[in-house]
Amino acid sequence: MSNKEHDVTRRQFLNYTLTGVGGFMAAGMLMPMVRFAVDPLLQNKKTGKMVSVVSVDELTDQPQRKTFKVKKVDGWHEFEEQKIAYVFKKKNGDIMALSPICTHLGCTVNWNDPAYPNEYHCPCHGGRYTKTGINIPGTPPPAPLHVYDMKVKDGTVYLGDAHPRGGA
Amino acid sequence: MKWCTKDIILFNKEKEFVDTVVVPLVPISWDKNMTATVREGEHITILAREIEHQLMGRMVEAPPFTYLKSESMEERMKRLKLWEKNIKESGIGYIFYLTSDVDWNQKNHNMLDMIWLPAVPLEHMEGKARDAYLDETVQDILKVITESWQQFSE
Ligand code: FES
Repeated sequence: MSNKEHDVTRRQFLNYTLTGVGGFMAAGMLMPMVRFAVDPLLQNKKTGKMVSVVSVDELTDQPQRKTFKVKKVDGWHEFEEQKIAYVFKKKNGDIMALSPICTHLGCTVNWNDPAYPNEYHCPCHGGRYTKTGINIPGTPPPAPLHVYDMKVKDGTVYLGDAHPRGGA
Repeated sequence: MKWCTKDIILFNKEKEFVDTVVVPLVPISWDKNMTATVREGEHITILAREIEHQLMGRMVEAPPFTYLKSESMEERMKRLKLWEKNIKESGIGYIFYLTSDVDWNQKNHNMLDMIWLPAVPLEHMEGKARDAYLDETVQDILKVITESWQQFSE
């Protein structure tokens, strides 16, 4: 009687411990797999690294066209994308970096086209923006040009992702 | 807009704003000139992708028109004309053919808007030089396209 009880507890004991160890092993195997599966999704949410684009001394109050490359991840596939920024100093001295992607249907706008001096002009459907990227009413774009995240370190301008601006 | 479902749905929605198609011409051969043939196709494919990227709001980049180098000019033209007819019937006003194949440069195909660019061996170019070359070349092509837009809108 007492022997039998003992057996049961031993079996239970083994059961518990084995389930425990097994579960632990399973978790050990599954975790990396789960991580592996969701990682690209997590990475997409991460804001991209800031990239050095231009030295501060070069900047004036006139927007300058600068190109730079960022690493993009599309699912598991990593590739480099060429970006364009128009960088200049505002009246108050602040540095501004605008994305030239037209907010209408995504064409690339140009600064200071001879036919449209001191404006950004979209070659596709005539969208126009002021120097600080505000869309001019009566032209197709529904919103201002997006603004790049920016930081200055050791006299160099670093740019990150471009974002729509709130308000305006 | 690219030849993918997402973009084509947008194309059908915004059709009034899209009047242009670019068609990259990509040659094929399996003989001793294969490398050069591949280079011509690759070069123009890279440029076409970039053109689409910059003018995506007004154009669709069609899948490449492929042909054997051994196919006669007459045959190619016949097929290309068929493509053109189809595209035009969808209401597209401007069609640009992009190519780096000398075949199309030698003869004067004045009935088609052919943009010809010499195939630069990009595989031998370093990062910065390659980027600068591509950026400049793309700007040149953009100019050709946007200028013809202006001509007709005035
Ligand atoms: S895409 Fe710029 S105005 Fe339409």
